[in-house]
Amino acid sequence: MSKSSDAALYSGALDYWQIFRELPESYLLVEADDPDFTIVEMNKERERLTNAVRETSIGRPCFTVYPDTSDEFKKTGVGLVKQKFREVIKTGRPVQLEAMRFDMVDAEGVLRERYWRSTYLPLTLGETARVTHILARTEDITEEQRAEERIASTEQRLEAALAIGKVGSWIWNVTDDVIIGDRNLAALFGMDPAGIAKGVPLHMFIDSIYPEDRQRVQRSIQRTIRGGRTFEEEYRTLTTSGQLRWVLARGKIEKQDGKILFPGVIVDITERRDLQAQIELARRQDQLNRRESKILQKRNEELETISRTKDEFVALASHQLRTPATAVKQYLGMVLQGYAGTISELQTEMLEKAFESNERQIQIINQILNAARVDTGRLALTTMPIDLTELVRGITDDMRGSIAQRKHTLTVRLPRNPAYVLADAGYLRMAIENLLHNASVYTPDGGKIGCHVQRQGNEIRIDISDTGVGIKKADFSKLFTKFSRIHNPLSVQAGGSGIGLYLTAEIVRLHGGTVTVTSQVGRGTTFAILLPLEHNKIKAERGNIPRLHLSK
Amino acid sequence: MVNMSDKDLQVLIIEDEQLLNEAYARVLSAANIALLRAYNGKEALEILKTEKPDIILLDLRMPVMDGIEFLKKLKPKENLPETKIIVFSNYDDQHEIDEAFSLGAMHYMLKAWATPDELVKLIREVDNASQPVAN
Repeated sequence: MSKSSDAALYSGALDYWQIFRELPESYLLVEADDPDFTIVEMNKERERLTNAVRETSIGRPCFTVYPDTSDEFKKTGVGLVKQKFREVIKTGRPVQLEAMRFDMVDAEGVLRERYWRSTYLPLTLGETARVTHILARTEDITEEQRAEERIASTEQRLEAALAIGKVGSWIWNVTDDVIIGDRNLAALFGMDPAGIAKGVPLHMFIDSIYPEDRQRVQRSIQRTIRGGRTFEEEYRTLTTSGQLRWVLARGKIEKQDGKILFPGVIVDITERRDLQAQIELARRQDQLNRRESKILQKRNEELETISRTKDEFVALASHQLRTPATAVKQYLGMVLQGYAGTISELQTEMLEKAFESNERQIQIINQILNAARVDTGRLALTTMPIDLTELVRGITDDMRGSIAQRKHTLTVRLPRNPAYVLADAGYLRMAIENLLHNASVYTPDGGKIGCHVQRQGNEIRIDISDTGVGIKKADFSKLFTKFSRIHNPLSVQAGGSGIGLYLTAEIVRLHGGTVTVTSQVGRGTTFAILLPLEHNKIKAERGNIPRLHLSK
Repeated sequence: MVNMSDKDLQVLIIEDEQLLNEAYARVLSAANIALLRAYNGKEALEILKTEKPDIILLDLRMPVMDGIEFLKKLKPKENLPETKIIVFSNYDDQHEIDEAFSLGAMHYMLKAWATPDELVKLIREVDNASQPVAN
């Protein structure tokens, strides 16, 4: 059966040419044994794809219709196709040409980069054994190719990024709204790597941006697309597992073949930001601390000033109170002592009460002044070697008069030899007088008061005892506190050196000594002062340069 | 108590507080002691140009010229060797007391302590003493 008769069988029902014309793939038919490879036929798809017109192409050499379009591809374009054609003719077998670049002019007359995949099929038409025609089936793989190229060209970048770790690469086809990314990108966003490799719309990533940052990032993207600059943003993302991470994304706009591409990289900077945040926090804390400590310092200074002002006021007030108090004493004294003539018993009694009250006033003023002095650190001892034996002898002699007035018996026992201590005579006297005075006050008439000075090892001990009312053990702790007065009917104190036990203890302490108390209610009390002995006799005899001991 | 035999004893009171100056004056004159009065060191120096009291009662804290300055100006050891000086002070001025003594004071007392009798007694004691009264 001849081919023509086969052909005749179907000629009425179908137009083969029309079928050829309408095939969805692009076909070009050229003459094989023509060195020009004249175009015999082309279908509609071919026309569309290559922007050619059948009528003006048929009968013309193939490579006149499809010449090399870019200088750089001269050898690989036409030359390559010709080579493939010859191969088909020679082998009589189909030949594939993968990914060949062959730029073509588009409908607007603009030369565009194009990539093709072609299959060249041999046809033997007519009664011959050789290849008479070559049918070229061509696919436009420009997009595919470009994407592949781009991915390939960024592979180095990706490798480097991967080496660093946690760096994802992406390419966003803005025009078609498809983002493809690598597995790092997928990992970063907790998305399926296969899905990302295929491509997802942008909104999937936008949705993963932390709401607060979304607007800013979107605006930045838009600005980049419009302005064509580089894109760089730091923002938070919420992964599908609910993790909040800080990322830095960088990209830029590329425009190709009417499509806008937006490739870039994205890296997780959570740790860096955490560290930064910590540093910032620490820095702010330091600032706060410094500010706080400055405030505290200032407040301390203010408090100190207030305290000092208070002390100075107290001292000043007390000083000023002394004068009128002294005047009262003088005038009351004068009347009582007969300087204003004779006074009746009743007048005497009343004036005596006034006099005693005034003495108490003076005592309080002195106590306040002394206490203030201790507080402000102005209690300054000027010490010298002093014979304590002599000092106590002098004090007890002076006090005999007032003690006798209360009908007390005073017993004094002193060491035979001098006992030197490093002391401030004035203040030490005040301390000893205070204890003797208290002994007298708290002992009813007819009682016994003792003052016993003796050596005790390296120390000298002064025991001042009385047969008075005694002190309750519960009150011991209150004894040496400021302005303490244990409620006692005998507490109206007349005279005395004007200091309380608080000061007595302080003075003894500043002398390097201690004060102790033993007592029995109803039987009596003994106060004991212990002072270190000054052993350097030469110093003692010569009379040393006075030393200053300042209270805190 | 009034002692009639001491009219020839003359005391100069140097005290800035009027109230006290007057009080001491009354005490002393009631005790028949002759008086001179000054309210500060400057006045006292004026008085001492012509007078030579037996005893000076010197208040250390005074305006215009205080007690210490007065003593420095007076130089009692040279100029008034016969006069005995009693200094009024407070215990917190231990340095002042020492200084006063070194400048020629003989005794000191706390104003508030002395009753009129005690003051008179002290004055007589000092008058009779030939050297500084030990404290």
